[in-house]
Amino acid sequence: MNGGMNVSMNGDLHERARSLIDKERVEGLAAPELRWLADHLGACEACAGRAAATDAALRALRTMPVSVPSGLATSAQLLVRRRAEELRVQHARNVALAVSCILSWVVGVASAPLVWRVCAWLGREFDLPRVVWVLGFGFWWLVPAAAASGVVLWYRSRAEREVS
Amino acid sequence: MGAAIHLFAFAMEPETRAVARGLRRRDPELLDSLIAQYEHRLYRYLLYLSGSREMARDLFQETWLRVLARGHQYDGVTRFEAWLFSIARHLVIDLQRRKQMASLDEMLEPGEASRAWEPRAPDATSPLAQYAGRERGEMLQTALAGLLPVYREVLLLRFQEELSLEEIAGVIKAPLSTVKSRLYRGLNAARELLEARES
Repeated sequence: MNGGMNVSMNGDLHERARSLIDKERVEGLAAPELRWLADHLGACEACAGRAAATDAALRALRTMPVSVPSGLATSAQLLVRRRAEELRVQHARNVALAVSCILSWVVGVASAPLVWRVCAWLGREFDLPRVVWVLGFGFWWLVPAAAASGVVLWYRSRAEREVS
Repeated sequence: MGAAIHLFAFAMEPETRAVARGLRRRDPELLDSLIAQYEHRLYRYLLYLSGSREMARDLFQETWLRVLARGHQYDGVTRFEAWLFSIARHLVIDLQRRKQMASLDEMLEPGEASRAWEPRAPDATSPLAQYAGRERGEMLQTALAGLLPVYREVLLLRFQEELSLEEIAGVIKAPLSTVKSRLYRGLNAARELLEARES
């Protein structure tokens, strides 16, 4: 009975040592665990062998030769510089577009009373129903803005496609 | 220990912030130096994940284009390499999705790993170095080919890139417990594979 318990206790000790060997490398150990493990490894050849095998596996991983294709960085640098230039040009174009949209809106707002009067005058001259020249004014106001919005959205979606 | 980590983080901060500022400006000089600095590490990571030199080379370029486009998203607080690897990882997964696979976990079946894993590039070192390293290198590569990509990935991030467990969790977008369990399983698998190979 006692012998069985000893075997089981020894098994538990080795199990604990094996788990600490891995834990030390993955997460690190607290000082008491580290001391316990060092004592155990000093006394147990099998567990010391396992620790050595673990270190060998990690050394193998760390020193595994991977040779980089020649010119990899240079070609990436060229590609990135070219794309950066494209993005810069695209950005400048977007800024120009945004500025022209804003200017167009400001001019549109400023000239709205005048255009309203012109539309009303045309309506009177050609004897048009009020709804017609009001709609005409509405189109004059909406169509350029809608076209500009369409262009902006198209540019944007194209830029996003290119980036992704 | 905590103070040391804090001091280290403080010392690192200006560099990462400078990188973040440069990326926001799309500074070509900075990008050039980052590409040169991370050439080997990024390529190795992509190779570990994709298992193909050809794919790793294409993904390398794609990763830097993505860095250029999304540079403003880098916060300058986390380590740059963690952010870089998470971008690279997304690209690998996107590529695999395009190939009708849902995630990295499904990238390769164990049996397929050895076929896809081909890290050896055309020899570029001296003949003597080639001769000396060939046998050992081949043995390691063959053994590690048996590892699933999800294990290869965390082992690389932990033991080669020396990222913290939290940083790895950030890169692979997985809970800390998943990172740990993959590391333990991966370590165990690597040890067994190498032991079996050596015996």
